[in-house]
Amino acid sequence: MTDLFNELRAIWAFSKREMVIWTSYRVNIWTWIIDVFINTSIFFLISLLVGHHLMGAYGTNYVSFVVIGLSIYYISYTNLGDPFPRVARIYWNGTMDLYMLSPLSYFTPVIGIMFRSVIDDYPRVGLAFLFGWLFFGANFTFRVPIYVILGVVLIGFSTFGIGMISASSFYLLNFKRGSEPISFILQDVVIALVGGYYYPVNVLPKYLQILASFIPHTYALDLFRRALLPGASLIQPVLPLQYVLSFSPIVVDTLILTLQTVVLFPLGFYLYYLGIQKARKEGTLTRWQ
Amino acid sequence: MAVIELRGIKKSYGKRKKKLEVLHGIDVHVEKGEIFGLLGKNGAGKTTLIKVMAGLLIPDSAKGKVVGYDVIKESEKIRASVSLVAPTADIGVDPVLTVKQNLLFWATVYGIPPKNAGDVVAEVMEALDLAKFKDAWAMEISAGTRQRLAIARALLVKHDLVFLDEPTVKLDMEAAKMIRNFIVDLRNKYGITFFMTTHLIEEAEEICDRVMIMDNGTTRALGTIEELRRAFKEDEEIDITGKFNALILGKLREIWKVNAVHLDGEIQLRFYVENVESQLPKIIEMVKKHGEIINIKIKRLTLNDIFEKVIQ
Repeated sequence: MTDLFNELRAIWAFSKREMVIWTSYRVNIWTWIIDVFINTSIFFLISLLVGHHLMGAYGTNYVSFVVIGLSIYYISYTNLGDPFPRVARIYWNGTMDLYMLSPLSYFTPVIGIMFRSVIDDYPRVGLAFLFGWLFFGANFTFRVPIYVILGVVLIGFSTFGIGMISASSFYLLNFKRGSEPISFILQDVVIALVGGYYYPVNVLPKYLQILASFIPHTYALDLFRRALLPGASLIQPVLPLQYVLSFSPIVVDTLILTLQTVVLFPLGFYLYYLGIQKARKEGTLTRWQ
Repeated sequence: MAVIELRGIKKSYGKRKKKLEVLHGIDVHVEKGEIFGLLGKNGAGKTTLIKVMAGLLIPDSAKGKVVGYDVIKESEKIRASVSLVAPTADIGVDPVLTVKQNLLFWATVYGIPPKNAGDVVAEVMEALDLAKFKDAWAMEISAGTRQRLAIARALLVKHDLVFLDEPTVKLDMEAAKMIRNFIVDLRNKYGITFFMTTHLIEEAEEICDRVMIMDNGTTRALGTIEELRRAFKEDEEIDITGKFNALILGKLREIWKVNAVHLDGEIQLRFYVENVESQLPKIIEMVKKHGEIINIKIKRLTLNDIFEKVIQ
């Protein structure tokens, strides 16, 4: 218990440090707000062009639809995309050895340093909802709140699991320079194309819909849109598995997300552990030799 | 009591045909409270050895314990029980945090309870003369001060064993002296064992109780400075300058190995002896019979001499 308390205290110390560093660059806050505002504006303008005929089971408001897409994008951008560069930062600034020479677990420094992105990206979710609602006519309801809360937890943990798999490649596959293919292929290719951030998955060709069935984003977006968008259907299936399984779509989303989380989250941590052990054997833990 | 007791440390990097063995079966024994110096050229394997002992690297093979834990099976416990100062001061020092913020951050990482952290940080800052920089950003202070900050970080927790990898590199003479004094004080006050690498041989000579000279992944010499001197004692020199009669050289050479140089009407005699202490009185007595002694110089073996001989 004491160990867990110490790990949490260390994560808090990392978080405070990252906060000090983040706020020391005062221009951050302004670029951050403008960035979210411009993003939301772009989709509002697209909504004027596209109209509402693509929405189907997700109601009639494209800006609301996209605000949810943007929100999951921000969470995924941090949880999935951030662990790898954080491990790279620890490696390149030579502190991996120092963190290893402490009572902390292998994972605490990575999680702690990620807080830089958490404070940068997570509040964008709130801002996207706020700007969408204030300026662009987005509106939301709050049906089935328990599923929404569960969905937030599950998409958070499942994407972080993939993020740790990506991070493990730094040591496990020696991707030490630039980006690495796991997060690129998933985040920037597969999820960007079939995840459904900006359009419903059922507009895609059938084979891409099947590909979409394997990623957590598909189910999280479906769940949140059904739960938060006024006029969205709680019973009309959209995703391939919702046609196969005889539960309500929102239950299918939750079950599949849970299954993916149970697999991806521990797998990510286990692979990262293997990566560290490999680096300890090969002497590649840090650039300082 | 041994803090480090390891035998047959082997470590290689790379795989199969590219495999490069950098430690070829090293033995290390360090007693509690020792300041142990590890000397060697670049690439001798010093840092690899430190990393194996600190539990950061998994050796190919090794037997024994570090701070009471098995070097292979209990490396996690070793890592949590030792400190390390990396050779580059900037490692572990965040430039946009103040000196105090840096240390408070690491105090949490090292598990120091919040109620004690402020006092511990203040004590270490005071000891390393960092208190006056406590509110300065780390990027604003000199490289030498950052090195002191790095050492302060490693000493936040009074572990039984501290590894110092070239701790005074980048420091001016005064700052280096301060660090050396601090190391000795900590050893005397808390019984902390220091295992340090250095390229400054005078530094090892000044503060290390024992030294090990490594070359190409093997131990080439090990012992106290005196033990090493004795091992290489045939090379110690006594220079006697004076005005002597012409017969002196022949008489002396019957007993000792000696060379002579004529300098402005004086003669400088250079004796090569195995034991300065026992031979010097006899030499003086004999030389006085043949003239007037003006000056005597004894050139004892320095660690640097020994190092050069060993590495050759």
